[in-house]
Amino acid sequence: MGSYRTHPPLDEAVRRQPRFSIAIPYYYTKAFRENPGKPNIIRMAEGLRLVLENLPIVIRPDELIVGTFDEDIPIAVPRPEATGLNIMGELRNLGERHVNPIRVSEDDIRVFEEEIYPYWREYNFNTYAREVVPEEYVDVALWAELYIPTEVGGIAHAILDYPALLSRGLKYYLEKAREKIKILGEEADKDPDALRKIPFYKAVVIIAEALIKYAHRYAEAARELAEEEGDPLRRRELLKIADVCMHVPENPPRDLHEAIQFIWFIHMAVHIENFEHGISFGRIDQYLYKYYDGDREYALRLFKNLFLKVNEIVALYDSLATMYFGGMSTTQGLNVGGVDRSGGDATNELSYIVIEAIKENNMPNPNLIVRFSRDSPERLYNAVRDVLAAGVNAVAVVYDDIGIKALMGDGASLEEARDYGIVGCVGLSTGGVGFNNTAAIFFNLAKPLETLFRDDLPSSKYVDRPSLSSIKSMDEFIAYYRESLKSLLSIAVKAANAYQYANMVLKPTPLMSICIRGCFEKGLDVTEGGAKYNFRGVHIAGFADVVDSLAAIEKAVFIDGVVSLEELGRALKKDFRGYEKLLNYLLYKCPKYGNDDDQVDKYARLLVDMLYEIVSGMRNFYGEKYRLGIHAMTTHVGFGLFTGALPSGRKSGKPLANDIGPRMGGEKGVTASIRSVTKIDLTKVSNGFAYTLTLNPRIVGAEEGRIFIGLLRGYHRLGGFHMQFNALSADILRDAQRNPGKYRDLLVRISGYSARFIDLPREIQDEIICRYEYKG
Amino acid sequence: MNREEYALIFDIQRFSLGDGPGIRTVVFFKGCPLHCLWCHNPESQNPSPELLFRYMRCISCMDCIPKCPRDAITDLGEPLAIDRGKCDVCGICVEVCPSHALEICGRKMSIEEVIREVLRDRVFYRYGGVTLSGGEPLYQYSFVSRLLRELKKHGVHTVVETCGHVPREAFEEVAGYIDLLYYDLKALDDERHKMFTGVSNKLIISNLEYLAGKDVDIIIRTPVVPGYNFIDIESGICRLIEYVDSLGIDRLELLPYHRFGEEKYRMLGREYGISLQPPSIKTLEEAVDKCGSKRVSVDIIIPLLT
Repeated sequence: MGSYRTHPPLDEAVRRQPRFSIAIPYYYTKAFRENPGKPNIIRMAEGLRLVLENLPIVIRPDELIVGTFDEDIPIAVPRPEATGLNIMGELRNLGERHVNPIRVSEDDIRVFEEEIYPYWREYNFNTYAREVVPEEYVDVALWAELYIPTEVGGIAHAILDYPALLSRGLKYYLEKAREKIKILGEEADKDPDALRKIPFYKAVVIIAEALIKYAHRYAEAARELAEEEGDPLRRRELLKIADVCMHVPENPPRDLHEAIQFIWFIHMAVHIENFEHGISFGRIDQYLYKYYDGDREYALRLFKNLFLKVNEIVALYDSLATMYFGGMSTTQGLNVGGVDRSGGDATNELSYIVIEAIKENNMPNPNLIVRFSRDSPERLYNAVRDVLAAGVNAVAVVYDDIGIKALMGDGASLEEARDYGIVGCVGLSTGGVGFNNTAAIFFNLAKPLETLFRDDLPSSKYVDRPSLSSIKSMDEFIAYYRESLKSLLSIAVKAANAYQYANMVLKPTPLMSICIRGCFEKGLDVTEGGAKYNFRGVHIAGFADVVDSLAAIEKAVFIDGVVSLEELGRALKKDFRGYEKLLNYLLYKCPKYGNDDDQVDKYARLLVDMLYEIVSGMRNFYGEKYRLGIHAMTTHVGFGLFTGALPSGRKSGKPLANDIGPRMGGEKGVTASIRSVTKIDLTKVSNGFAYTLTLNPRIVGAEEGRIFIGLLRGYHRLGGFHMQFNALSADILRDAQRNPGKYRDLLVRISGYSARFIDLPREIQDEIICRYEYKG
Repeated sequence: MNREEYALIFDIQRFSLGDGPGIRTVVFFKGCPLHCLWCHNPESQNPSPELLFRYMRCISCMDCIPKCPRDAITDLGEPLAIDRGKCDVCGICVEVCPSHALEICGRKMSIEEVIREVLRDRVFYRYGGVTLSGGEPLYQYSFVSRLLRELKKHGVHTVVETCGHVPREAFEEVAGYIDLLYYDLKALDDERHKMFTGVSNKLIISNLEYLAGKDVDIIIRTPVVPGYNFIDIESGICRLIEYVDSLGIDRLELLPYHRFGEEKYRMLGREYGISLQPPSIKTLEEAVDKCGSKRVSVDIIIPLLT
């Protein structure tokens, strides 16, 4: 503590290269070892308690919001009960690996290998899942090319119920839990459920006490520091921090500072307990508004502080997983704007402050998604435009009408639907009222297509391959595709359900459970389905590849008769070697999705309808729905490596389509792309989707932002939902020079002229890049 | 050209910025009375359909050679040679080519077809609209006038880009349906004008002065091609701004020369007439600062990547 001044500021600390940290698994292992006979939920609570008791207390010179995972941040944490063991073979290489290197110390490696790993080697989700589904479903060979059931890493992807937590304070949970334990104890001779729930409430008591104690440790530290502090301004701040940490999270907050500190203590602890994937804030501008007193400067500072801190932890993946989930992002979702429960637009001053905080920090997390309604003020459009014009990519926008309709289609009430949040990157969810892991499964949509043409793939044995020569029409082909899709998706679902089961048995999550409405009242952990809604989501990779492929097959085989299905299969197997003419025909003469061409766009709509119908028929471990989503994260790269050539003209091993948008890009530009995408019934993609536009930041600011607003409003009027932006940069242009096929839609425009960037000769491209770097 | 059911159009380009305010669809009409040496849309000049050879897409499969009924294609080029004298733009090679490397530039479209195409982006025209360009759209002014009227019926904001070298009656017919007119003035000096565009600027100036007296929103557009239509940039810009001001017009756009159109000449089998480095934007900005009038606002247009 005396070395307070030697801690680097948070702003600096959080931008360092991440460090492999074993503190969390170390203490959980200790708790599990020391309490072998106790119910798992209590072992989990003890684990959290031990971690909180042993975390170093560090207050950085620029912090108002305190509580840190370590002095040396960011940290990357192995979860040995889940996928953490996959990192075993790579531990010594972590610092040198090419993608996402992570610092690691010899001591930590030794402790992990000798003390932590042995405990979990046979006690983890995989060993459990293998007992309930066929082993091949849990095997890397199938996963690499077909699906990833992410709950192998643990459950996650939830919007925490901060409104409820803030209004009650942890003492509410403490008192009620103790009461419940007493009452249940009395019922135990009559009610079988009574005994089942007692461990849950005991766990809550342990956790609530541990969190309150942790906060008090900070109060004490802050007081000590204040006594030594020379700068009167900072001394006042430290005394305030001490006051705040005495009050929250035990009690409901009295002001914005306390509310945000409360949130951080919980948020941080949830990240200790859980797989750090998609743990989200929900509609922070709505539930914090009542604490805002008008001091804009102070509020901005508090938010910036909080938003920096969420970057203290990053996701740890072994090198194979990194191909699917590159970037180490924890994708903590955050929402502002949109309508309130009674349907009126609820954008408020905090909405703008939050946006500004995101813009100024310019960090990958949290992931801001701005909700727009019919009545969103122009100021909100301008605020988003300013962030994008500054080249900050980390903001997406969604449109209320479609989100609300989609959630009601899933069974939410109108009010619940109006209060929706985006969890993780794109997941559409009912706020803290549901545990809707929208990223439970990532699925390669192109593989069921490929298995119709090939019998030499790991997925092949699960598909009844028809004889290609017997298929006489496009309708027949589509029927076979549907069967293939259904068979393979059902395997993915079974595997995912097995992991939900494994999580329930091996790793209940008591802290997460009090953060999701319903669990505490029922005395049922989240992993037991205690939440009001327990949806799971399937996210698709390769959407545009399949749309383009279906259109290509229709034209090449059934309309022009240029090639038979069998010949096409042979060409695919050979990756088009010896079939250059066919390849060019498929690439350039077959219509592509994204050009507002009904001949191909109809397959986008058909595919979504088909997927929706299949997915709706499936159930998760809790007997509730799977929902359809289209968003790959980076699984399109990993899956792409293991997917061969496709009828769209895509070559073997290349990345698949990443989101719901077109592949070869609207050669006709952005508006044509938007028209194509909005031909889909987007309310059926109720798990959420990503639609990414690459835009020149100059356009975003052009004509006082009216181009940008015109695009957004047009998209919304056409029934659009999600849109996010990728700022066009000189790097992208250079990539276009190397990989022209990826950038058919990149256009150079100047009054009355346009050409595709990739069609221009090299020297002219270089000239444009040069100009771009200076003037944009 | 008189009353026509169809117009010859060589492109309809959506999400266009810089051809009028907001998000626009631009309709490019084929045929132009001018043949400016620096033209970046050479495919717009000839009023008939032409064959465009995107040679970078050619994979030398040679399928087109035997199929051409005029024997116009041989393999003596890089990668192919097309004898434009023999070619009658029948389009058989276009069908045959697997890579879409051959294209016919210029397609007949009816009013209904054009309307249908441009209204696809209607939802974005709240701040935007449709621009008619080319080539010279008013070369086919009877069609254009009917098209403009249809567009106004649909409540669409209309922009027309013209070089001005068309009969007076063309403007008389369309002026009432144009929200904004971009009027190109390639050079004030008639001798220069004839040398570099192939025609005199007398008719252009006369039409401009006529329009300036009417209730039409006009923006003057002038390319800056050093050594051609501008010898001394500063004095040239000053003269231009003075002239625009004298007409009572308050907006001028300067279009610094760029080479992006070069490739298209090759694709058409034509020679590119000039070879030039683009002028420095800074020079133009300084000249505008020196000569700028309080009334005329001058914009320098640089390429936009979308």
